[in-house]
Amino acid sequence: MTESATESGQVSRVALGEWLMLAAFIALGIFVYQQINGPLTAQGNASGDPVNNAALFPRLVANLILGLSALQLVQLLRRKVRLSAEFRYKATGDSAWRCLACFGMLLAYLFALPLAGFYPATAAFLLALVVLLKARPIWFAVLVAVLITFVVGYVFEELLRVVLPQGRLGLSF
Amino acid sequence: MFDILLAGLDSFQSWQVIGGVILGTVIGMVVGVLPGLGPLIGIILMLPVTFHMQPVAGMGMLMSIFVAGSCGGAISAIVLRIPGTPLAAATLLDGYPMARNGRAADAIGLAIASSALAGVLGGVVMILGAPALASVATNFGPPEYFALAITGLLSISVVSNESTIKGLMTGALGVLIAMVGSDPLSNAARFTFGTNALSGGINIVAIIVGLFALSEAAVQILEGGLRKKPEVQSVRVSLGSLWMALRHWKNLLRSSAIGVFFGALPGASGIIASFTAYAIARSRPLKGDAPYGEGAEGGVVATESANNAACGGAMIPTLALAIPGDAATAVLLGALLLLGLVPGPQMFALSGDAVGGIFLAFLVSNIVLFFVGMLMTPLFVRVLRVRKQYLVPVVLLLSIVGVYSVQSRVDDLWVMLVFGMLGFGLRRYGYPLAPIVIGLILGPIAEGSYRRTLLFSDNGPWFILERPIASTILAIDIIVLILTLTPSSLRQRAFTLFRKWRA
Repeated sequence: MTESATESGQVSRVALGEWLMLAAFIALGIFVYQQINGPLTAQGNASGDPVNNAALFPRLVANLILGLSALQLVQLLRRKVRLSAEFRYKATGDSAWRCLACFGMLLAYLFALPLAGFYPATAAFLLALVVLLKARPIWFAVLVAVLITFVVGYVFEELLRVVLPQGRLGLSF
Repeated sequence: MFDILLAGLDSFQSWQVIGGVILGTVIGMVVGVLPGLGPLIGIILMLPVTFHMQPVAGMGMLMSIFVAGSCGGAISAIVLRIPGTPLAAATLLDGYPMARNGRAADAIGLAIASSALAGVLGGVVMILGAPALASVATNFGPPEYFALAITGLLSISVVSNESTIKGLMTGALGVLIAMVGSDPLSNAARFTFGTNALSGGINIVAIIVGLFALSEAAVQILEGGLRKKPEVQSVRVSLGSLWMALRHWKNLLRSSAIGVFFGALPGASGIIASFTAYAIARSRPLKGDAPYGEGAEGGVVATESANNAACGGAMIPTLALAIPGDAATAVLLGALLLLGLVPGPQMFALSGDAVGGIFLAFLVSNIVLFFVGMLMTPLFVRVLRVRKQYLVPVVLLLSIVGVYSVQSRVDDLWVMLVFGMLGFGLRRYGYPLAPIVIGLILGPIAEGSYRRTLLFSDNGPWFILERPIASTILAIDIIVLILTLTPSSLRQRAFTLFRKWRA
């Protein structure tokens, strides 16, 4: 694929994303109104004097969001979509896949942390991460993962007196 | 002024404060040197750590990161022609040519010495200016605070690099996020979905770390170059750099004044200050100096003194009025709140010792910057060789452990993850993140003062018009907003019509 084709593909994806973002902001404004007319009205805090009217300011902000969304809609209809300045590099499929895999690992780590505890879960997470980010040789990646885990764990547990998750194994300094 | 400093001496004289300042300076230099990080990410990563420190020590460490991070970017700009932070973009114009001429050590020494000297000058202006501004603001009531909060929210959105409308949208999003939880005036549950987990609001540290640090990690991975290791040569800096900087004393004073001015303006920043100072210095070259653009010492002095003096300037409205000028000062403002200090005029009256301690920590951080810079530059240059494949996991781990350490809750890590995804999505489509932080911090101030204003008014929101200061501030806000939202072609046509009408 040529460079311009890649860029035009990126631009069309960004255009779709721009519309989705706008839709999300409009949905947010509507959601605020739903909350005002639902739970806040049920609590009796959607009207009355300024102290009891907890919906007063949210209503203002929701109106502001909806008004700005209308302006953004006009902008989108009038202007050609441009790529955000910081995303103008050529993101390859490889790096996108790697980024997604890192996100998956972070997700798995958050599930594992309360079960396995800080030290085993973090060492495994870091090792997987540095290997995924092309760290070689493997023995060096293991060394880095274990070292960083213990240094960070020591600083937070011993110096800052934070109780890190111990998991079912109950491991700590 | 001296009363505050004397009161602050007690809280400043502790190993925790001095250690915090030294550690903050080293961390600030490291995050400043590494392209892609910068003072904001440094402050965010260390924000949770300050929870376990005394308020002055915590603020001292964060402000040292702010100060040193603003200077550290110059090292990579000089050595690699890659500014470590946008603040150092103007420094490479002459810093890199100096390095190419075999004067890398001189350029780095000049950058550090100018930053430290200008930082002290900016600190002195802050010590003189913030209490004076706070004393003026002591008579402010809810309408004036409402107007100031709106100014803070508008300024950062209006001058954001991307679209003004998008900046305002994310600012409003920040205000909405701050509303999650119990309403402080009526105790009504807002946007909690009936769960107790949200009744206390969302952990602000988790939000900020997620939005900035997590999204930055994703951007760094997407950019690629994970194994890239720049070839840099060792550089040693000598104390003589101080005299070299003092040779440009006029330039240094002028650029510092520019830095303080732009720093104190909400929404303007050290970047604008450094380019302005460079442009002015270029028109007044020093005899015997190399031509500008070809390695002029004056170019490095101008840019580095302007962007570090801007730190002191930026702290003036932040401390005195609780109006942050950019994302970094917004996070510093959030840190003050989290450490139990309420920024604004009342802080000067009620917590004078803490304010004095913060002032002293700021001044000392600039002095420490000079010595740390002189002694540890070879180490900071070596930091440039750290590969992204190790840097990104460390940033991620510090984010995770830092957020967890605030309340020892794994739930906060999920919040961080959600906001990380949101931050990435917003950045991807050109929505600036800084207004969210300002909205988070200023939203509750704006809401509280708006509702209090209405409470004391028979005239609804129009009561604000009866208050001259509040109405003037709001009028300026409205004019600025109209000017920025009006397309330039329409502005040009209106201006032409006005000129014709006058003729």
